[in-house]
Amino acid sequence: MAGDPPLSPDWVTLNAYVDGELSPGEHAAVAAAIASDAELARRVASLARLRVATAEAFAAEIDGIAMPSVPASAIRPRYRRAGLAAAAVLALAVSMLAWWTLDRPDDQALQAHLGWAAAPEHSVIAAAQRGAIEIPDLADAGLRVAHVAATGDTMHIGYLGSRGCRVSLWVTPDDEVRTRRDERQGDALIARWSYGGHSYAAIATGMPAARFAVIASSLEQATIERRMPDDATRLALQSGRDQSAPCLG
Amino acid sequence: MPPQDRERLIATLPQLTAYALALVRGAERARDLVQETALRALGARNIPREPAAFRSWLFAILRNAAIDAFRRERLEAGEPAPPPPIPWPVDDSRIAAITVRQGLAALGPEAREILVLVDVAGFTYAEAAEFLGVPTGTVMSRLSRARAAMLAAIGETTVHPLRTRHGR
Repeated sequence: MAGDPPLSPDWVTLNAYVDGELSPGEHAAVAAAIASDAELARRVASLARLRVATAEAFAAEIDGIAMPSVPASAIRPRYRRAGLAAAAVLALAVSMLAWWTLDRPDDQALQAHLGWAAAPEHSVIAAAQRGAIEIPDLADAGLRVAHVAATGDTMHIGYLGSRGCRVSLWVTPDDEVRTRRDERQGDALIARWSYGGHSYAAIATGMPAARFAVIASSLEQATIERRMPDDATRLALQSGRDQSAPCLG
Repeated sequence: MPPQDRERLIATLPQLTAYALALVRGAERARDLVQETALRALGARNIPREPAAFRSWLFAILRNAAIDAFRRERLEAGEPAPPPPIPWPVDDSRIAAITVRQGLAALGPEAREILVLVDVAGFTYAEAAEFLGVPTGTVMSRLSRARAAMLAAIGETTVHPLRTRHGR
């Protein structure tokens, strides 16, 4: 059933809010409106979810396409369609480049992840602050909780896979609502979002980007909607692990 | 093209492919378009150094290649349609990969283009405006209209994502 579009803030402004494109003053005004209007908050959540789902839909479409080969020069290839071998070489080149261009960490979350990633596998699980945050389950991705460290209001959850993969979830208090932003710092893949009083950063190193995207989406789903992954996400988590190589770091 | 720029080009191929998929229908045509873009980039003399400029430069090459290749099909769709009514309240459980794909398929190239630029490639509004040669306000209206169309399409689709499993 079609209803009336939101009146205040208007639809264009809500989109800009979700995209982080408002000025600080405008952002604060919208945030205040959201805080006092549950329906508005729902609409923002719908927009944020749509934004993530759109990126995932394109990512899934791209996954089915072998990237074209890029010759060393502008000489046009006789055959336009690269084979799987070329795609594999391309993927290797991309991953090696990412490994080679490792940046120094510049934020606390990434430093915590890198510190834990370099630690022995038998890390200690500290007492988790139950009630502050539900620890998402990544068992379908072959990852188990191997490390929980809480300092004040900040929590670092480390997930460990059987093939060396490590994923961190860094949680800090945050009253803002921010849609997910993905970034890469050297070899580290990072996804950040804020919702429900917390800011989250999912981090992995040496993991195929496609697999990390699925894991980050699952963590986001778990933290925003406070529910277990749906069947499609669980299947994607399992498939992502089955189809990916062991992690590099 | 220097080796480091070639590597930057290779790293951008997935984003370029998403953009190509927004402009043309079919994986094969999209792939050919990216291939053509790569070849044009490799033959370029002046290559932007700054990462955002480099990305915009590649996207512009792809857009020009698409216009050259498909000019007869009128890439520009003309006047955009008025925004559809948004089916509030939106059932969030319907916003899933399968319904979003259906929604994307129902959009025109202009709407798909702005969604890829902002949601997939990470262009800011200002970057998208400069890239498209339009005011920032136009980017905002195009993007909000595209998302409204997506939500409307998702609300109307008969396809339902898998039910959520509770209690695990």
